[in-house]
Amino acid sequence: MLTIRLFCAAGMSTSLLVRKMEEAAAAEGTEVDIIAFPVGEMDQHLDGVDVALLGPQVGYMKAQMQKTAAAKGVPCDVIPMADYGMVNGKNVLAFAKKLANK
Amino acid sequence: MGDFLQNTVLPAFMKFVNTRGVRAIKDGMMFTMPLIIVGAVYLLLFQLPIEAAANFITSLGIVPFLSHGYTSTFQIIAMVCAVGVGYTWAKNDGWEPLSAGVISLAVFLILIPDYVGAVITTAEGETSIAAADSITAAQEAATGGAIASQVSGLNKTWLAGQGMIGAIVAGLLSGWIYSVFMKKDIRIKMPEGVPDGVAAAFTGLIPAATICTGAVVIYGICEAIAHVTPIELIYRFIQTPLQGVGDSLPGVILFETLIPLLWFFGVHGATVVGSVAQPIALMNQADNAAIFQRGIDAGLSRDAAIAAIGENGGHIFTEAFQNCFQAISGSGITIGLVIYMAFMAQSAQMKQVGKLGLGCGIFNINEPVLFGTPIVLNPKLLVPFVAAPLVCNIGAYVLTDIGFIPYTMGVTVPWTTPPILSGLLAIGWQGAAWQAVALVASFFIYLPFARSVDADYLALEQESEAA
Repeated sequence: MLTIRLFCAAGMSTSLLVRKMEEAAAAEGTEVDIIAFPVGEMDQHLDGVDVALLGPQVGYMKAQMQKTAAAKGVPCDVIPMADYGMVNGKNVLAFAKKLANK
Repeated sequence: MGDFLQNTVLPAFMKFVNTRGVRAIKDGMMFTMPLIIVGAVYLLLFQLPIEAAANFITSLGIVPFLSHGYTSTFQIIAMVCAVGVGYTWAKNDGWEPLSAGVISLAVFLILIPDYVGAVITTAEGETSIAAADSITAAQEAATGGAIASQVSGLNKTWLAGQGMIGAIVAGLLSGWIYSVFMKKDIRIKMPEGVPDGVAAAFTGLIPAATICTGAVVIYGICEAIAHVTPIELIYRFIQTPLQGVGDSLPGVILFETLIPLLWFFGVHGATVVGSVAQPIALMNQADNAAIFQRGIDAGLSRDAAIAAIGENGGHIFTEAFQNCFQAISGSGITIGLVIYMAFMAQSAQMKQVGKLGLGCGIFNINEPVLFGTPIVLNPKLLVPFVAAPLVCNIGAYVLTDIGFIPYTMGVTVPWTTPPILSGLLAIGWQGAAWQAVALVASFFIYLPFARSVDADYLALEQESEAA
């Protein structure tokens, strides 16, 4: 089971990506738990999480957010712009897996 | 130029945006949002634009209750803002945050007058009652009139728009000083064996005593020397000039240019610019609501009270104005580009992004368009991306100024409300009509640029197919 949390400005635009990632995971038979939140609430949503991904529009907060995530031992990085824009669930799922090392 | 912006200007800007104070303001103000929306729904219900519907609500006899709900939600946002800012500062610094929020609230209440009016007696022994903001004038009118007694009470004038900067100042100072106390570990320490819960209750005691006493001293000095409350000084010397800048056409042009420019570099422009523009828009919104309410209280009809907002110091740039014109169909008003991509594009890339963009564009979300087209770091689309929102916002500003679009009167809608519906609800048919014009204009503004990008993509796709 791979637990992924996505963070963007309001948690809205990313919810579309969540659905696509779930579809991609179902297609390749990976069990996932993916939810999107506003980046301001990140510290409340890191327990038991394998990987935290940031939307590129909040990429400017990367350093600060990586510190927050690192404190709970969660790897965190910014989703590549093209994959985010094209809502490429498969690529983002692969990106998350690589980060989580699973 | 691009490199200079990206490597020098942008990081400096981001550093400012990420300072503790700015983050505390930005995130702290978010706590007022639910109250603003709920209050706006009450206001809309008891000030319905359609007469038959308004009469129906009146006949039910629920107007006083709706009005009470409205004043107790929308009209206390400065109080909530004080709590939110202090809370967020302490939270971001890693301390128990609610104590800081509570202290901020107390400090805010200390800064505002603790009276709602005064009883004035003249030399002849006549008495009259003056409201808090006209005590001095009443004294002068009564030549030598003395304040016999003050009418004490929570002065609601300051609890929303007018008190907003005072609330932010209270929140920032309280959050900051509280965090310093925590960091230096200046707190009452309980002997071992006292349960954690009990000990925690005493943690906030020393900072609370210090911060509140400081605020009381400041209030005392201001009253004793100048017969003025600190919040009035803050309002006159900080808030009024700020509101003026935000409400001017150059101010609006600056905000609306910065948002797409920041997005061009991949940064969430609305969030960043919002850290400065949002407090101003909220204060202006609350001011307009108060002016509207005074008109209604003076016996004006709904329409007459709205028409009187402008000449009574009302503001054009408000929260509702922002939600109706700033980013309809998403930042950069990209609907024109999306329509082109979905229905007219030749390249596979554009067709796909267009399909993705249509659904969320209706709700003013366009990240797939920004990153998928992409618009981010794509110089070919920068011109329409800046021009479309400028046309919409400058047009809306000027049309409000000349009296075609009514001033907003307190009703607002969530920013995800589809355009035209949002204009209709928050402003009226004139607002919706201008939104429709701006959406159509967006198509023609993007068209030549979209065609050019489409041709590039098509050539690339054919090339890679041939290879």
